[in-house]
Amino acid sequence: MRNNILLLIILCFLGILFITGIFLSEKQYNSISIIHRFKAPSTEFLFGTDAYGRDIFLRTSKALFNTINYALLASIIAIFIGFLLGLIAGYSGGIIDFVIQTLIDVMMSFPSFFLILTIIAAMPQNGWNVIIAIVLSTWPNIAKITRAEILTLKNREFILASSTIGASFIRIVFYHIVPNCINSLIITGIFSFGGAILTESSLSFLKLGINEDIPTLGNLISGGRDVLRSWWISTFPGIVLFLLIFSVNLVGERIREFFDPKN
Amino acid sequence: MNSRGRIRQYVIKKSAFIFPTILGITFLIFLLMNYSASTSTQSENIFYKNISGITNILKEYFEWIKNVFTLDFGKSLRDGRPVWDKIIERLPATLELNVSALLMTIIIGIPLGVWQAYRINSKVDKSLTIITFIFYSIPAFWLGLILVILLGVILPDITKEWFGISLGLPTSERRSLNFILYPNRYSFFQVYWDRFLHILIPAFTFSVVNIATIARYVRANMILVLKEDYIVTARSKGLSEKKVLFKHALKNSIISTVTFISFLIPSIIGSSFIIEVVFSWPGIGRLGYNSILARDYPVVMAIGLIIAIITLFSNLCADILYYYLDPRIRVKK
Repeated sequence: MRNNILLLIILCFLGILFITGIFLSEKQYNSISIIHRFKAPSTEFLFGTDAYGRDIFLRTSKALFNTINYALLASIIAIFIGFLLGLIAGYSGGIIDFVIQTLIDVMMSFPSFFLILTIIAAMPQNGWNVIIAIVLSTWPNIAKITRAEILTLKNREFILASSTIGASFIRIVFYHIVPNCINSLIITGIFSFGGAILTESSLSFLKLGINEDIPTLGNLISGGRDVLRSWWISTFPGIVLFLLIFSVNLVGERIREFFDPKN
Repeated sequence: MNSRGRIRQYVIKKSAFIFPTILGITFLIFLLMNYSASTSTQSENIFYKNISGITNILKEYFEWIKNVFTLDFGKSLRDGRPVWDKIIERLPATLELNVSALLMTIIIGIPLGVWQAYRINSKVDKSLTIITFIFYSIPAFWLGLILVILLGVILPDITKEWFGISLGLPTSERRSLNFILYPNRYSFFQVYWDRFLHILIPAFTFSVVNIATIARYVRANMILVLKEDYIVTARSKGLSEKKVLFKHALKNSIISTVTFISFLIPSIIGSSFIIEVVFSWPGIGRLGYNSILARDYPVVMAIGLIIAIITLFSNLCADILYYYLDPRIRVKK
């Protein structure tokens, strides 16, 4: 119970930051001021200022908004592709299943982070490279879970019955398969969202991710790497990033407990 | 067929997949690196060879493969040194960091999970559940940076102000500068103490997420095992709790834990890139990161190959270990 209150407080805090982030204009979070360089946190600047005198509180709130957007887009695409490939593999079987399953195994057994780094380095740095990298590292997991679900569903009587009475493939998928595996899909989706946030920030931290002009949580943390004595520059965006990942994981856990028939 | 013949067949079947996988991965990296090298302004580089056309790329790739069998990975585009030399001098650092992080993970993570499962729903278990969940959500690169700031910058500053000497833990590189410049001045013990201090924080940062993951997994698994009938039998036989826990319960849950750790290995190697960059650790990860940034593709290809081999063979080892640990797989036809 106490955990839930904690989660609610964190979510409220993140929600306020997120909503602030929506309405911030570029002039507010990007205004450079030489006088206010490296100011420690105070009542004027809640989280302090960075090397260009920009307000880290405003930048963090915009960064939270940007990070969530990128991660959400990437994980939605990953879920779509993963679900589609898992569905095709599980439903068709045979050689197609073998090919997709081998692809999944290869992707899961190789440290994909290295592959991601090379892909990112080969592409122009415009934000889409990060999304493609996240999608590539996330889809195998989703496809694997979907495939396992489809395999147990495929031979059940109600699927057989509906295909016997002439239901089309699309109808079977949307009316019988999706509602039956939506639970595990939602849970995997939430954890993939958490993973996407982490991957995006890690890449931005390594200066390989989103362009440095656009504030994301990884970019802000990376900004404090060369000026360690100004500890606030990377501390506060990092705390927000941690709270974000923590709350996403906790929500995922709660939903899993909720769907678990044992409870 | 006897059990040895079966395991041989099993290993052959598993390793048959390894070579196509390695070929595929290296070819993909080769294509990507060639593409990015051709779009960047590397043409003034004296070591750079411009390759275009699919037949030329294939020819170049097979040339590379042929050379790999004689351990000739070509020359680095940045300084013209042989790639093999560059990697060999970095490999020990990476292995040191990875192995000590993995050991730390196993030594702390598994007992933590066992203890939690044994004292399920107690206060200790509940607070440890929250702590492992927090550890599980901490981004490793940020934790590393915070530890560098705390132990490498703020702590020395404070101790200097209060006690006149700056105390702190080393947070970058593998050895102190003095130990590299004057290796003869220090005793054996001092050298190893220095190296121990240097690896402490990187290895801790490295293993925090993994400790949490393992502890959570072992806890969930042990809870299931402790409900089994043979545990009840063992207890009713009057065995000591220690024997029940370690001889009967842990032995049975270790099987799935081994598989779980083998699944973790790719992510451990992957995160070694970030950790090595954060702590300026002179290993393969930082070399790879710098080479990717510089489009130094002979080095990137070689690192990709080595990582692929390490990962796939550790997966294979885990499979074989699993086979030996679980008698059910051996006996079942």
